[in-house]
Amino acid sequence: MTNETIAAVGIDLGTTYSAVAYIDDTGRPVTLVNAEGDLVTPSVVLFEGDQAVVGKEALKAIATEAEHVAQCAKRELGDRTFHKTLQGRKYPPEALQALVLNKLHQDAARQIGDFRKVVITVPAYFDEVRRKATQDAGYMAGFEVLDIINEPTAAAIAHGFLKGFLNRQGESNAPRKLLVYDLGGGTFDVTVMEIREHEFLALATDGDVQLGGQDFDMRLVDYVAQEFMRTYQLDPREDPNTAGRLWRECEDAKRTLSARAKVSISCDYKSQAARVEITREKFEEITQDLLNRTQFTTKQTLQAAGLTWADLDSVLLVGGSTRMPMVAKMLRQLSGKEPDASVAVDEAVAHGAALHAAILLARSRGEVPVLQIKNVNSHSLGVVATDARTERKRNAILIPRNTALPVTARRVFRTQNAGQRSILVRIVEGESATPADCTPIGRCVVRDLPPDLPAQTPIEVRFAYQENGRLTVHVSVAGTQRELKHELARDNSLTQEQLDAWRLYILGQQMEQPDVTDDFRTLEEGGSGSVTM
Amino acid sequence: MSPSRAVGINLGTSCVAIARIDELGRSSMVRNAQGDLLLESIVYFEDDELVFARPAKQAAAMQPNRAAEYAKRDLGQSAYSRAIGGELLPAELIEACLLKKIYAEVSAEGSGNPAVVLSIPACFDQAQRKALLDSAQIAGIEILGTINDTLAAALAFAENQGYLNPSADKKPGCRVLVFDLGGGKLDAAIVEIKPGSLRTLAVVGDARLGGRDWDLRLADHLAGLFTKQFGEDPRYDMVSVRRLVESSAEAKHTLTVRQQARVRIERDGHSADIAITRQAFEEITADLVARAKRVTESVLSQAAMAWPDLAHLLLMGGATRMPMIGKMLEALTGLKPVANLQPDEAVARGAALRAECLLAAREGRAASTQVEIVDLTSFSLGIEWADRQTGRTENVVIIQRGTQLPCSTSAKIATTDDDQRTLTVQLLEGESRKAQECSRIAELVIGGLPGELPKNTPIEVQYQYTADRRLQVKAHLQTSGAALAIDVRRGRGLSADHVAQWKKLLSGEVGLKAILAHLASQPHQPAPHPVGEVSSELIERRADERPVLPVGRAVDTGFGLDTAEASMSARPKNRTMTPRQIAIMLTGYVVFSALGLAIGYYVLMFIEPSYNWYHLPLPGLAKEAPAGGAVSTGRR
Repeated sequence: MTNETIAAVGIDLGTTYSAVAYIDDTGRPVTLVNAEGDLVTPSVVLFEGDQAVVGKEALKAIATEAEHVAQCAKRELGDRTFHKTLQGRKYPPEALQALVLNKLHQDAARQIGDFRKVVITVPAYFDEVRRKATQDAGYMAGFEVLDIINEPTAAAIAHGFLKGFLNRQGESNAPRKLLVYDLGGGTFDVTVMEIREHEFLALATDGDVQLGGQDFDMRLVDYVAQEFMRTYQLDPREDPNTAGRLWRECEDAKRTLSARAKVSISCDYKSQAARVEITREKFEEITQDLLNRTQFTTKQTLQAAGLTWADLDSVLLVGGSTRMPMVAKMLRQLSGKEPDASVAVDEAVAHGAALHAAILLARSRGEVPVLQIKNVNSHSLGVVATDARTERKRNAILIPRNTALPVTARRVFRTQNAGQRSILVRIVEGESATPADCTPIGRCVVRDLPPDLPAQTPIEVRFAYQENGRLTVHVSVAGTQRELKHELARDNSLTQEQLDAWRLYILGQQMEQPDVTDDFRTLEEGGSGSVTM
Repeated sequence: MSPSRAVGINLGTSCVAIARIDELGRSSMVRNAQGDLLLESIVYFEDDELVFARPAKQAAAMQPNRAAEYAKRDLGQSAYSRAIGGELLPAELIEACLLKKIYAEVSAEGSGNPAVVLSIPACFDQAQRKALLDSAQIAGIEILGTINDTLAAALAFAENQGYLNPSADKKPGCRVLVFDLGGGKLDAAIVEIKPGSLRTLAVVGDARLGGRDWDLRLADHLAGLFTKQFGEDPRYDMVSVRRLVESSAEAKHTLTVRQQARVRIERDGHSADIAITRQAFEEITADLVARAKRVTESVLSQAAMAWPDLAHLLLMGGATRMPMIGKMLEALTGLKPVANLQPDEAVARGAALRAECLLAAREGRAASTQVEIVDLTSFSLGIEWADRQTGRTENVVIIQRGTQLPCSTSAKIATTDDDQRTLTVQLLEGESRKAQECSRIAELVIGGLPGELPKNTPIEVQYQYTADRRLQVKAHLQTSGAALAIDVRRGRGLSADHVAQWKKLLSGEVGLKAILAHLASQPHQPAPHPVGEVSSELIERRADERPVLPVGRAVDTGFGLDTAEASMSARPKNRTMTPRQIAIMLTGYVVFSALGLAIGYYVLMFIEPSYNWYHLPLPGLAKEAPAGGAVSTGRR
């Protein structure tokens, strides 16, 4: 209370739920409850007049006023606007995320005093665009984002802390390999990590953006709706409010099924009511394919890391959905190990983020940090180039996926034509050799080249990829003074002015809501030039 | 003996919170297997098992007659207010089921036996305290000690502020107001916090005022609105009543954050989304807030202080999240509530800290946080004195309320007859002078008097409160000093035998079947009220609406849901019509009367064509009669 150190705060900004943790005066991570007294806050925003209500009440409102509620904005990060128009307005997904962050900030600040510096987590497979969007959300919420780290990394840090890896005494520990299985509300990802003394290295990571606890809920909703239709020939899902209410009932039932063998779900629509009973076996049966998808990804990731189950020291469970007994059962069968849920599954990520924040703050004060984290990039990064032999465009990868960060890579390309006046460098993310199958994440153009430049002039492209997933591109053309340094700009990101406007709006210092639809940065076309390998 | 660890349990009316002392000697909350900090205080009685928390809530929505919730409010009563599986169960049994479940979870969570301190509302009287301790006994839990909710909350605050650190010697003390509005009760206390010691300066409570009352008030209000609109009361059976009260509680939570909430109410195919604004909610519950205000004012006057003497305001209990409570207290005290103390957690944390102190003392080690606590009696202790002339009975107070614990006093009584062998003393708790307005907590039967004592032989009776508020009584003959045997007969609550029987039953896996079988095998089990059909008025009990004495106990009246519409069961099958039925009926009237008129007119025109004023081209009419040709056109 009395000392003036800055609180180290970590935020798990989840698809369905978010959590905040800080490092208390004894150096341990503690989850901060919100104003309602809950450890996790639904990442749901309700617009009511000029007020935005975030959390449990917004979640409840889905059952009555679904049209004013925004949920799962995290899934749409990187898109220009959120798919739903709320009270006649379009919102960028990062602004919605910022509103969630603002609520977390306010509730946490009540308990530990105000703070600005935070670490926010993102799924490991988040690409550059979505990382930047998350960082922007943090900015709009008035934070100074120290770092963006991967959720599985954070979970592993929390685990490592609990198991004593992060104590000085823990240095003699043998290297450990873990698999982090994170099944959250809206996303799934799995990461194989190695913890060596103080080093956290992600060996391989993979995931599924569109798979999470909600999909399990929806299976229940569908099941109940079908039973209902069989009796009344009416689909309760037609009406958004009924569907919302049914979804809440089903979510509750899902949780109950983690503790009990059967549950009844009531559903009423157009003054018809039905009570549907479902057993845990039946629930597991109708969601088997979802679980199998996670199983498949898990196996693949382990393979990508070049490991077998026997090499792993433990399997960490993260995310509220791993409370479903079927998850632990599946992993137990698969790995022959007892899955580890010793760090509370809802809180592990936030705890790890807070620990990471503490490390960064210590480093900024010049202290020697007690742990280091090595991230890997989850998608290969390359540029679009024309293959000299086939004359086809292809993705020339500079940084293959799962390379430890930070990393600098360089590759030399050549100009195609004599007298080429400009060079277009298109940066893409993805594994495919065909550029069309990759995600374009930015472009930069070198202009005003000397007119007498011969064909096949070497162009050096350098990628510097930071631990926080930010990419800087350097392009230099041999024999000229032309050099370009480019911080990744993306088509869908907001300009600094827009960010500032949103920041003022979200922090309540400006009532006028910023515009969303116009003034997106348009990048100039790169002229005639292109690069060859 | 395996090492014990300190655990604090706040067995609340609506939620249970558990805290422990961690490796660093600090209090921290215990989560259950589902990761929740709070466990709903609800037990659902399956045939062969007991179900708790969220699953129980869900099951209760379908079959409320198997679910017991808010049972803490009925501690000290003869039974839980609504029948479970057709039988009235002791509230102690229900609380015991909860405690047993909690204890099992806490035991599984770490190594070592939990050494439990149970927090008890300050407003609980002896009967309620005993009932709660009996619950622990039935659950097979050995309680290390108890602590008042208010003092526990202050203790957690003291820890939070660093008063419990050994290095805090120089820290200046402060006085705080603890305002604890839980699901079922209100406690208010003024506590003085100094490094290493906490002292209650005044404590006042109301055992019949809690968040639940706000829920019920809102439920009644909404039901009234629905009834006005549709002519039907949405509270027609236990399922519908429970659903309405649950959605009202949800709406109450919504109104804490938002200005308006909507509650969906259904009956017989009518459904309405009834909106309620925060302002309307505050209006219909203004009297409850006023009661809370009176309690707060009286704690200040009991402490003989003024608001500026207090440094902090601690809000405890989930119900203090309602903005109207914060507003009222801020206006009254001029203090801002302490923000960094969780209203759901602090009491359990304080209880855990107390457990650590007691455990350390028992184990003969230094406690991680050594703190002395001083508490007060919440009620005056008196004995009944009957005026032989007027026949009135009076309460003669022997230990004033607000006396520092532990305390003792002795009172002389005298035999009234020659050769009297036994003497009976009625022990009372309460502030009124009239004995019947006080709570009768026990009957002392002093026996073993030697024979042939003359009339008016003085006997000295010593009453002693221990630090954790247990009352001990000793008696001796003043003349010889010979100790006398005392038989304490508690008026209410379970007997030691019954406690033992229930304990035995709960020690195994039980469900409703086993409990009902046990009740059936015990014809003398406490069922002072005839067990029969429970009418809907009994489904929910209401707080006493009469102005309560700021202190002291509210007299229990098992009110049902109010408003005239609530007495559904007494009313013959509903005969009022719904608006839809009325609409159909009216349409019918209009259509048929129009048809009748038309036919009548048609017939009339046949008889007298000149009546065809509208020159209707009607088939069968030969031709229109020439104007003026008709005799009866004079009317035009």
